[in-house]
Parts: sequence; structure tokens; C-alpha cells
Amino acid sequence: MKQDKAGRPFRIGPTWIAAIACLAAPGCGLVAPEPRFRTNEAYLINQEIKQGDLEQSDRTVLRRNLKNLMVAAFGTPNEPHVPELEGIDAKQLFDPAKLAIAAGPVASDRFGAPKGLYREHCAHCHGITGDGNGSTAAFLNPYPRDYRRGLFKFKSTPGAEPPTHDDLLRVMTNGVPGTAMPSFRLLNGDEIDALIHYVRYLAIRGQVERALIEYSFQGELDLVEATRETLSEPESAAFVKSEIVAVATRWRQTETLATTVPSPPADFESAASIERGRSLFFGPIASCVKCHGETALGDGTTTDYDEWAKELMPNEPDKLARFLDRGAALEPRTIRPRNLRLNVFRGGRRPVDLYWRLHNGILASGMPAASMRSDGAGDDDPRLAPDDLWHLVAYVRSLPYDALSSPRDAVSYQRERP
Amino acid sequence: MSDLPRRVTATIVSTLLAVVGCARALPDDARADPDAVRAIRASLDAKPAASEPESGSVAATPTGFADFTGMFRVDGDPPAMPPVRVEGGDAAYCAPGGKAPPAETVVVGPGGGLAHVLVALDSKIPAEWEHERYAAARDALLTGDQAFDQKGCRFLTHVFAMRATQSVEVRNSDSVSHNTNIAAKGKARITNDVIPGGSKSIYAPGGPSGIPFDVGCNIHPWMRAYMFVAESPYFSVTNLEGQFELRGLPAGVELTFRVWHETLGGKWDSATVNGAAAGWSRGKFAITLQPGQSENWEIVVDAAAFR
Repeated sequence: MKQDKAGRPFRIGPTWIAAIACLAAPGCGLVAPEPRFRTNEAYLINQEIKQGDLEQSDRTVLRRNLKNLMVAAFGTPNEPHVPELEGIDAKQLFDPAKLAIAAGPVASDRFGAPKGLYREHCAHCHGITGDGNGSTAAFLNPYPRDYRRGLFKFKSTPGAEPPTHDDLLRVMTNGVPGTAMPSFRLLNGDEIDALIHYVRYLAIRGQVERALIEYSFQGELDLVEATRETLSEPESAAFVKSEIVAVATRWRQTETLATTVPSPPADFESAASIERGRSLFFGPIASCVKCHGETALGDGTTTDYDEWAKELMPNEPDKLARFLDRGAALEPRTIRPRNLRLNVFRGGRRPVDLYWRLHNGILASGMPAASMRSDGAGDDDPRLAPDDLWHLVAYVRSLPYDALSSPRDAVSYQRERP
Repeated sequence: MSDLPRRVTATIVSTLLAVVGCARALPDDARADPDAVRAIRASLDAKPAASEPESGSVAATPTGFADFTGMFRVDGDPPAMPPVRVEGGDAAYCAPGGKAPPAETVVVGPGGGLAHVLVALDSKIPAEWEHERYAAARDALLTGDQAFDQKGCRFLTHVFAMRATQSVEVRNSDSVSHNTNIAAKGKARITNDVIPGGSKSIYAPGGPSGIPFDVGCNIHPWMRAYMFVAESPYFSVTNLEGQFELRGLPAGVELTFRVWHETLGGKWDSATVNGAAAGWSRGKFAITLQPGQSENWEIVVDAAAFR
């Protein structure tokens, strides 16, 4: 064991002073810092990998300019802000009165009405910024949704169209079964409404931030070259605003884009309907079996990642390390196709929910939209007709009640065998 | 044991530091500058001027048309491409006899030509400047050999470029199903449709993508291609000879071009053009062509760039 020189007095040197200062100033939490929106570090790293690394000094300038621009446009967690947008009824998307209820620290006014709802109910998992990286996120599987891409899974609209107000309301009131997302049914309607507006605000804010990062790397609004003065010029403002308007417009238009669901056929969920669904499930047109597996346990293709994880380049360890080393993202996980025998359907188990999932796919998860017949095409078109989708829904809904799905039944089934 | 109190103190302090203090370190983050925020917000909240200036547009007027062609050549031995990782239920079909196709990250032709390099006009130009040769195909549906096809569980066009106004037939010439996951960027539309064997679907991007983006298949996660949706008709992807051609470009005005390759991305900061070093910035360079001019470049890429 190493011995010190005998008799040396205990001195408080510079290291100790620094250590104690570190502890005293930020550590003890005596003065809690005002929460801030975090810059989308993961996307900055992604774009550096794809578009070329920056010098350290340029990185600093880019981040400072982006920060100033984002705070100017969208404010802070305590004081959200939305610029005046021509041609957009901002009240429908992010009503300032509703944002004020959802934003800020947890409190209540003198009549007992709550404030700071997002921080009370959402931020632990989804993060102050809505980056899906709150303090509990690392312990959850699946990880909480990162709103900043504006991509949501359980919705009635096709492709990458944003969810409608009703879609978000459904997730808020029902939760997402099979995940850590609970139901918020116990909040009153105004409170849920305020949170929906705030989530939309965080999503649009995140989408605009990503677009600004892309534009910077493409040189359209170069945030390395920019200064406070150039960013205050009308040209820059017009550019940033046109991007906000473009994103916000899609959120406004999506309210009319929900996929209409035709009535199910008369024999829906009859034995024949389930059998027809079964043959489609295994068939080449619907191709369900490829990912969900022959047993429907979700054991087909299991090596793929969803779009959120793909951005971290999980198949390239050197690149992935750049994200993880900086704490910019959580360790990516492969996406599991759903086990359809559990009777747990994340987007809801009503027939209409499953119809939407099959018809439109599940955005960014890998689940594709069904190959549907063109309008007016007859039986010579091999693709799926709406009735076919309904039969698939019938089969999927029957799977949890299938003998194979119940371990006890499965055992007795084996016992009965000669 | 005279150092015991010191060690106890050290342990307590460092534990406290580690538990309480250090956990707050976030990778973030620049702090906003309140003066800058005020100035920018004032500008954002101001009513816009009567006419919005077109950002990045070229001021002069073209005086004719010119051609810009060239080839990318790799100097040195390019990296060997490992086979893609084929697994799952369709492995027997996609990798017959256990032989998976090689990755297409860096494809170099027999003559050293670098394939799959996108060269595209980056400047925003008014529609009147476009050569009339492009008018007919402006709103075309790309089909036949222009379609985006997949066969043998690989995309037949590794880097596919089209105009935002066009639409393209996405074909599946395999007998197994694919789902073509078009993870578009910019204003281009994201889609992910099942395309059963022998079937097809139509992709209409609806807007430019700004940058190339990934196209994949979730049933066969090894499948990979890139798409670029251009605003103008001036774009070209190099073939196995490394050749590109941009014809009927507006002459007499300075034009900026963008060069992109899967591994080099937009990182190209220098290149050897016709034997001389050329300063590029993130794969971009500007040239002004004279009417009737046929500009032809040989661009040499050091094979070391791919490592």
C-alpha cells in the first residue's frame, strides 16, 4: 500500500476548491435552473456524418445561431411563443391560451385550475423538449415517442400525414396498450385539449428545427456563416417563417385527410370471414406472414429498426458510438413486429382501429400500407379490396382466442393427442 | 494511518460529486443570447414586405444554352464490397445457394469509373430558363426502363433521381413481396406500401427532397437505395463508366452544382478536376458556362476517401 510522506499537513489545493465549487454551484440544486429546450443534438450529428464534419468552432457558432433562432421563433418551456403565421389559424393548432395552461412549472391558479400540465404528466417520459428522452425514458420499452419528427404511429391519416386532433385525443384518453403510455381519462376535457395543443406545438417546433438543420448543411440558410444581424434581416425571417407555415399547414390540412372506412361486409367475423382473412394473412398480396411470422407471434423479420432508430445508424458501430458517447440518444433497439395473439393492440383493438393500421400502415415502424385495388377495379385486379381488409381484421381479432394463443389450451391439446 | 481522514473526506466528496453534481451534465447546449432573440423575434413577428424575395435566385439572365458532362474516376484500389446480410424467410429466394449479392456502397466500373454519383443543379432557377427538351417529360410518369424496380431482393437503381413534378412506377419484378419504404426528406412525400411480387405502385413525390434520402424494404432489411427528388430537370447519376451529363443548361449565368455519393455524402471539400485541384465546398461548386459551350470534366477521386 502506498504511503504518504509522514506528517504532511492536509492542504486544500486548487483541485479541492474546484471540486467544492462544482458541488456547491450546480450540484446541490439550491437554485434549480430554468428548464430549456435542448437542441436536436442527434440530428446535428446525423447531418455531420452525412454531409461532412464541422470544425469545432463552426459547431459552436451553428448551435448558438440555431438556439437563438429557435428561442426567437418558439420561445422557452416557461414562455412558449408562436410567430404570427399568415394564412394559418394558429388558434386551431396551438392556441396561446391553451399552451399557457400546459407549459411552465406545475402550479394552480387561485381558482385551483392546474397549470404546467405537460411537466406534471408528460415530461418525465417525453422530456421537456418532447424528444422522448425524459428521465424515465431509458427504463421503458418501447421508448417514449420523440415528437420532433412530427411522425406519429396510431392515427387515421395515410402516409406521413400528421395525426388529426381526434387521433391524438384517442391516444390521450385510451393510452397505448402494451406500452408505458397510460390513459389520461381522469383529466378533464380542457386539460387534455391543452396538452394536445402543446404536443402539436412541440412537434411543429421539432420539425422546424430539423428543417433548419438540414437547410444549414445544404447552405440555404447557413447557420455557420450567419450572425445575429443576418438572422434578423427580413430575408432570413421570411425563410424561417415560410418553413413554419409549411409545417403548420400540413397539420391544419390533415384534419380532412382521415382515411374513410367503408362498412364491413355482412358476414364480417363469421367463420368464413375469418378463414378468408387467414388465407390472405399467409398469402403473397397482404404478406403479413413475412414479419408477423407463421405463428403470428411477431417472429418474422426481427432484425430491422424503426425510422427513429435508423437515424442513429445502428448497423454502423463507429457512427452509432458518436450519438451514444454524447448522450444524444438512447441505445437503439430493433423493432419487433407485433405478437398478434396477445389481444394487445397499441393503436386500439376496435375493428376500425385495425382497419386503419392495415390500410395505412404504421408510420415509421416498418409496417407498410396494404396494397389496395385502384378505385373501380374488379376481381381481375389481384390487390386487396376493402372487404378483404375487413376479413384480415376479422382474422387478426380472432387470433387471441385461437387455441394456440392460450398456453393452458395448448397443453391440453397436446395431452389429447394419441 | 494519518491519511485516513483525508481519504474519508475524498471518498465522501467524490461520491457526492458523482451522484449529485455530475448527473446534470447534458450534451447541450448553447444558451440563447437575449439580445439576439429579441432582434430575431422582432423580425419574425414583423409583417412581411410586399414582395417576398426569392432566396438564392440568380440575378442575371441566361444568354443561351450549354452542356456540362464528365466522368468520375477512382484512383487506387476501391474497398471490396462485402455481401449483404441476407436472413429470414426469403433467404433461399434472395440469396440462392447462400450467395448474397454484394453491398453497393462503392461501385467502381471496370474502367475505374465511380458509379452512383449524383450531380445536380443546386441553384434555384426560374422555369423559363429550362431548355425546351425537358418540357415534354416535366409531368411524366416514369415507366419501362425508367421505372424504379427491384429484383433478386435488391433495388435495380441504387441511386435514383427524378423531378418533383414527375411520378414513378415502383415495380416489384420478384416473386416475393416487398414493401418499398420511401423515407423522403424535404417536401417529398413519405410512403411505405406493400408491393406484392409482380406488382407495382405509383410514387408521386409532390415536392423536392433537397437532399438524397433512403429507400428500404422492411421485409428484407438489407435492401438499400437512395432517391433524390429534384426541383429542376438538371440532374444526372453516374453510370458504371462514371459518366454524367447535364445538357441544355442555361449559359451566361453562374450556376451552383451539388455532387453527392453515398459514402462521401456532401462532404466533398476538394477534388482534382482535369488535373488541377478544385476547391469545392460540401460537394458544391459554381461555374458559368458560355452559350454553346461543352464543358467536360474528368474528376479523380482518391480511393483512400472511401476508408
